[in-house]
Amino acid sequence: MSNNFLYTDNVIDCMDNGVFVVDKDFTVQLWNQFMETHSEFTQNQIIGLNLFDCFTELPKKLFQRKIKSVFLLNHQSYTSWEQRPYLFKFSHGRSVTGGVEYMYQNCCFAPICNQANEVQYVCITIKDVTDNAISTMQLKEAYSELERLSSIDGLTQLYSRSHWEKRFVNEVERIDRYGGQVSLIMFDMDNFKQINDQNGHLCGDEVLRQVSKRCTAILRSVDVIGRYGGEEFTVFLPETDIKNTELVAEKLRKEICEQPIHYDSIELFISISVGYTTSNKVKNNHEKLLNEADVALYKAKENGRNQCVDYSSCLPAN
Amino acid sequence: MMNSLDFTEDQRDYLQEICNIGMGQAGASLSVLFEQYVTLSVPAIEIIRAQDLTSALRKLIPAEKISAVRQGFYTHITDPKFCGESLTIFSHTSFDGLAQLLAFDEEMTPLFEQEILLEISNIINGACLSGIAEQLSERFFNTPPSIIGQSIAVDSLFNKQEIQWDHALSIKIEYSVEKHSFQCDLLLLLPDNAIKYLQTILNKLLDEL
Repeated sequence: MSNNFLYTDNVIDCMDNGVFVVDKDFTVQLWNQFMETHSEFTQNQIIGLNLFDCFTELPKKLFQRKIKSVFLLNHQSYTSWEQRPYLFKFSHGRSVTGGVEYMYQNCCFAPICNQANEVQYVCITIKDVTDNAISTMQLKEAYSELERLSSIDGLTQLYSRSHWEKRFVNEVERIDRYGGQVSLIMFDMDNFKQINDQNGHLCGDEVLRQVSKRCTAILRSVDVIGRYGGEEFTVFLPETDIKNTELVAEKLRKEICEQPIHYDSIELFISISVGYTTSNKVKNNHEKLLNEADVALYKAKENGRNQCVDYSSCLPAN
Repeated sequence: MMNSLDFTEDQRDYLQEICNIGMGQAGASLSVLFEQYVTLSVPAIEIIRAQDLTSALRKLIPAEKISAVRQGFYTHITDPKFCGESLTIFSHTSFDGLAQLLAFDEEMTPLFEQEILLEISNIINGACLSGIAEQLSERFFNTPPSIIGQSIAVDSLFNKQEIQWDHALSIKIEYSVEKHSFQCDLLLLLPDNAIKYLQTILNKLLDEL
């Protein structure tokens, strides 16, 4: 047996993880170098003492639960920084660049058994995951910023087409499953090309911005508006019947055409053509509804613009 | 020719027996830990083919929205590699009920809900695996649990483009704790190599009978 490696204690001290052992009463049995370095206790000071007497900041109940399950099930238990950033208030290696107060820790509570396979002690390992945690948090922030950016149309600050469509698809699925009604309004600026050609694109952009602002101001907070294409907009109105949809459509139309838009010294009278439709009681499909509103919108243009058309009026009379 | 992954009747019966005894032990230790009577269903064992995964999963887990935690397990054996993953599936989860079960009394936050899911999953998984491991005279090691998703569709449990196995053995166990109207399913999934290894152990144990 002379070949047996005799440096187990040194190995534990060399580990770049916190390692310590407690018994079922939380009396410390082993305390490695990492724990010494990061806490104010050397192993000589802490061995034989109660862990909670030495670290009053520790979540005592959590430790008790964990240790109870380790003893009973002879199975590891864990904590992760994502739910619980730290157990011990340790400092970390990113004191300058990190921007976080304590070392982020992933911890494992593992059983140590005797010869009869009964749990005698619990070994707790603490991994410093501060670096990973910081980059993961930065990624998450970047992701949610990207998500926000992709859902908003930069010019009008309304929902982008893809985000609006996602919301609309969800709404149609919801009423198909749980019942209810949703109505859809689609409108388009009249003679927008002319505005652009005569006054320049910057003026066109300003018109789109002001139209969006006016619409948002008169819609209810539950109505969802998006910029569908160049000068085309869509609004869906949850739990709204066709009569009320007609009122909203008409209100939008008036709001746009009654007051001129000012750009530099130019005064512009503009208008919109509006098509609208509503869901039925049987089976709905978002594409079908969009198509219906589009047909009605086309009819409004054909009839001479600056007006609202109900899709049902486009159907051939029986 | 018989598919080498098919179980003989003897193997299947014996595996069922092992799982039944394992679950009995798991139920007993969970009842002690939770101080509640924990009911476990008879484990349902089947082989899932990768190409049938979607329909198989929908059959195993009928709920539309679920929360799921995964955890890996393995033995020291590397040839063939014996490893698998367990999925703990929560449908209609009452976090207050779960918190009571664990005697948690902290304020409920989204992070705390995640911690509860991880904690319960790890406990249930540990109880089950040690029950089965003991019957197989094996020891299972495991990785820390991680959350696959909360309120997700069953279809998004797997990355279907990147499935690395052809067949998987699925052992499904349903848990319930009556007093807390808590219910969850544990799916133990073993890919091809692990199935082969399991069959070797079963044969060895059958020979010893």
